[in-house]
Amino acid sequence: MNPSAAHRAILRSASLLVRTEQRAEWLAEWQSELWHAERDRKPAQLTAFCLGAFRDAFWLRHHSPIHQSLSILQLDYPEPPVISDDAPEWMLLESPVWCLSVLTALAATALCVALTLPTARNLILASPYPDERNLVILDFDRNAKAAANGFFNPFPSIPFGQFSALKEGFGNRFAGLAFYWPIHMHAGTSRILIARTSPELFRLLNIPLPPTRGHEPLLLLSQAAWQNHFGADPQIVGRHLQLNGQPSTVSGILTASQWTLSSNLDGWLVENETAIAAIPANAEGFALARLNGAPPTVDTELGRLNFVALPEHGRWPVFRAMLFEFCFGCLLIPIATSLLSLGDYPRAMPARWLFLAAKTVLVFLIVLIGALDMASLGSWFEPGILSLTAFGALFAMRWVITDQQRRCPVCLRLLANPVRIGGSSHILLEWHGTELICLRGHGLLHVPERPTIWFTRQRWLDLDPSWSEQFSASK
Amino acid sequence: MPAELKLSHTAAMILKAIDAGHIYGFSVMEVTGLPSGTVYPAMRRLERDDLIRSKWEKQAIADEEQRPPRKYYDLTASGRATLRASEKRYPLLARLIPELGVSEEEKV
Repeated sequence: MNPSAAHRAILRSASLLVRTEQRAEWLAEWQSELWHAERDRKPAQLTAFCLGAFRDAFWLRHHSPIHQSLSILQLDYPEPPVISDDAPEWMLLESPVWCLSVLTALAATALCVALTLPTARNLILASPYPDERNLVILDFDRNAKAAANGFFNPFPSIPFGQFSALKEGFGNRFAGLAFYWPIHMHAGTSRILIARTSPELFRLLNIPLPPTRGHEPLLLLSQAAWQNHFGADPQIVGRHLQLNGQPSTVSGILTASQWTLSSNLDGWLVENETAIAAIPANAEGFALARLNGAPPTVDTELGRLNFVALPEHGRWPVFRAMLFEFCFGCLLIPIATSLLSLGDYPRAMPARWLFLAAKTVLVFLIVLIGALDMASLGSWFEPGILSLTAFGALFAMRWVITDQQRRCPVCLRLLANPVRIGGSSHILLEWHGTELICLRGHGLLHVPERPTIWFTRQRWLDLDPSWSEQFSASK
Repeated sequence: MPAELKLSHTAAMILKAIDAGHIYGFSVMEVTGLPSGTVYPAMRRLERDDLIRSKWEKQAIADEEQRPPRKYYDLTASGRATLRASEKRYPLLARLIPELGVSEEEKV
């Protein structure tokens, strides 16, 4: 795109902020000014010139009749109405409906992003496996700490020899026991991570397998591997593939929602029990079991065997840890801000509290899902998600409180026209601070500059009906 | 709008620039050194408060010079009165904004 077209695109984008009835004339003026500016300005200067259009557009948008009517009130103010050169762009959030809509949109966006990320999606969505409560992953004490925190251990930890011994000694204590061994294999020119396993694994997970043909093992591919290594070939099912020189038949594609145990496998080579028995005894893999009553106590030279239920690997411990971090972040707010109090208001205002509750819930969702998204994007999931939740809670809840303090308790719109009154050095024993007004005439907010024993928190003053005439244009 | 209305320095500078013959937004930007994001909203405020008024250039003039028509601004009576009051408040205003030799207003 040439610079001139880019500048016109900026102006057109800015024009979307201007009300429809004013847009054509507004755009014509800016395009005309740009035409002349292009004669003696460099492209970088022209870009800055065009970006100024956004501020102009914001100003026009927010100069509704409500604001214009208030210029009458401002005549007696120490500063004139033309002083507000810094038109508040954040006024888009002025309306409570807008505010909640923006927060809802942010939460929805974060959720949509989470659903596209395998790690986050597996934590949010319900498990695809039936009777998940009785499914356990076998793990040793050395990994117990990570398991207790609820974070999936992506490293294989059960040697096949141990698994075989367990199957012989305690096989009757389980309704099913399966092993899978991740190993890199060559398929043509691609090197993919394949889990060698038996049909028992898929029986435990209730994933149907096609019948085997002859002695060739079946190969199931992950959706990502099918797309990345095999060009999403729609005819791949039934094709014979050589894995490390051994033949196999591609029998299907597993989607990410069907396999939630670990996310980095490219495929599963389903072999018969004889082939599985030939796996080296020291090959470390994963073991999955379906419990049939209470799990047995198994002590080995590698430590005590833990039976970690799939939900324990899944969402609840993670969400519990995130909830704890969110509360921890909220506890830090008094350290980060002195504006913790919501102020003194003369009467109960339920709408105000409902609005605060709605904002808190939405912010809670945004922080949790957002932290999940960001942590899922990196390889530092476990420490990252907790830190992001704590810091996100701190900053987001601080905003919630600050925003609530600056709203009219009646119409819930942001207060405007702050006027600084007095100063501690000039009027020692009198009130000094900032006054804000509701543009709809509901009242005034007095915010003390420095808390004193007679004025510790901000106070709301209702304006009586005699003021309504001044605000009639806004009603 | 009362004549004694006090303007901010920025608004007074823009009013003075228009009075000096810099009668469109880009020209005001050049002479005041203010960015577009300040000048245009300020001019809209001045127009809203009836201190200046705007007028589109005749299409025929623009066509003759093969360029888009421009929107020109000039001071209203109350704008002139407010500017006089502002010049007393900001004595250096006249030095900051030089007068143009020939007003472009004549072209309109």
